[in-house]
Amino acid sequence: MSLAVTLPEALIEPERRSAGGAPPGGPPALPGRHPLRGAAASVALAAVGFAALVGVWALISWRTPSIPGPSATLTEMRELLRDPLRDGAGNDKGIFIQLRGSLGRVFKGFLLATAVGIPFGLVLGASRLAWQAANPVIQLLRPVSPLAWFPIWLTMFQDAPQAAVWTIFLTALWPTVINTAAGAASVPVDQRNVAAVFRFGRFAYLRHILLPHSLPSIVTGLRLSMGIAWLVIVATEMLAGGVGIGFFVWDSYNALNLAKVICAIGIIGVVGLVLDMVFLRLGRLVSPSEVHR
Amino acid sequence: MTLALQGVWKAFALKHDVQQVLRGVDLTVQAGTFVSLTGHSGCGKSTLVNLVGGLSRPDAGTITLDGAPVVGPGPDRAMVFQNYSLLPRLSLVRNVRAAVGSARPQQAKGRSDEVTERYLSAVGLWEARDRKPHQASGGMLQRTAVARAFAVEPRVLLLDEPFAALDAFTRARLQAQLVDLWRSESDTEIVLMVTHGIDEAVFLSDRVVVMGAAPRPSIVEILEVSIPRPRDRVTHARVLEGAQAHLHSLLGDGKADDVRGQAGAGRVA
Repeated sequence: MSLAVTLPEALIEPERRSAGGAPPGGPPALPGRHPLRGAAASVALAAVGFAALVGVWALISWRTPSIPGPSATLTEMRELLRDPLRDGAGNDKGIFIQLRGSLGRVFKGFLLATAVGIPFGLVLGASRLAWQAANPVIQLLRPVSPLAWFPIWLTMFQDAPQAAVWTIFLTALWPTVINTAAGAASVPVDQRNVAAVFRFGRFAYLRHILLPHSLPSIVTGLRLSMGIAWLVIVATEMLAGGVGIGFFVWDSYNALNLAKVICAIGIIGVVGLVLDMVFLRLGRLVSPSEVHR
Repeated sequence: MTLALQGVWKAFALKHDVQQVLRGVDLTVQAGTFVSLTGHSGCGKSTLVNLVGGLSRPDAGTITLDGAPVVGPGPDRAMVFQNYSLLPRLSLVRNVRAAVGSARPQQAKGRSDEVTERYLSAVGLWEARDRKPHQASGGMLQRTAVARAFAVEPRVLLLDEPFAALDAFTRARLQAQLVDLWRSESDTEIVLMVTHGIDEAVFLSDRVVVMGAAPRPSIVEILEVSIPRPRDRVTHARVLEGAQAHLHSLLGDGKADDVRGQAGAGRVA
């Protein structure tokens, strides 16, 4: 209201002031919300959480002297990050080299699983018969730890790193298949009717209806697959040996260097978080900007 | 061309029994006719339109176009659905173009582009052609759906409650646009429209088919509306109201139909 601009504050009745836009002094605090708001509060609260974690850790290492405490671990971490790209003989590799090995295996297995899982999932979602045939098998195999397959792959390929890749493949396969199938199966009747009435061919149906509609669930599946793959790679590499963050953990334990193990836990966590955030972003990118009409 | 339905039966399996939705429907529609199907929910009017569209097959009886049996969807019949059903990731123009390209694969590309432009312009959306469905209003979406159906250049146009989701003003404008397109812009010969709106049915149609749920016959009555076109809600008000009153009395005696109809409302997948 122009009135509110031209008249001094004191001359305006309170009712009109509240009706004419935002009251002076900014909007009132919303009832029931924490006084700490916004990014600063998130950071502060996260810091509280981490402080609690470090506190408990310090307490445990104080009670159990064989577990290194925060300061010993920090020293070790500095040591690890001083020369992370060291590429010495045998197992004398820098931490980034170890990470690169693990990430390489994870991406290989993950890409294989994506290449197989998305088409397979689309077929399962689009065809009731295929779903009925495959679903019991999937339900049987899905709960099996992928590590149980490791001896099979090892026998087949006679090569531990390759067996690790195939273990990751199997790990990453199920979430991609199942989520893709769920997305493909939920194409609305209307959209299928449109395809029928306007006689979309297989390719047009795939391109204009099936894929766009399934895309958000596919990305969800990929995100879950990547998450589990990153979980499983550590255990796989403990079995497989070679260069990788999993074997690094096991090797450090055998060398009685638990500080390195704790460092590795932190690094594995950070990498996993970054991977998850990438897929979360990707998911937002492909999510429909509005409900399908 | 003649659209003919003879002794058409269609049933749907419910949990405990089978509901005979269409019970021996006979209907013949000549070229140049606008036919509305109306009746309470569950009387089978959408089912009937889906059968003509080839989205499902009758249990018994025949549906023929100029004597040729309907065995599936075809470019001689196009459909407009209640909830627009545009492809959400394609722009309005690409929605129309994709449908034309798929339905008429033999047609030269230039010709497909041309009809796409013609019908999108006819519904006043050529300027807005690059919008995505989520950037368009309900009226724009339904106009796109109407343009898409006409652009396929069907001989029979099927509409399943096309204006139900629109506000009254938009609806009135689109009704006029539909009749205009049908009468002067296109070669479409027959329009078959499902509607709940008695006003709409009378105003647009040459014949209103009143449908009923069991135990009444599937087709209760066919009302001829012989008001000359172009029609006008004001000058033809008395005749229109008379016809509407007649339809209300036909549908108002449904008694148990209403309750049953709600539960059994069926749309063919």
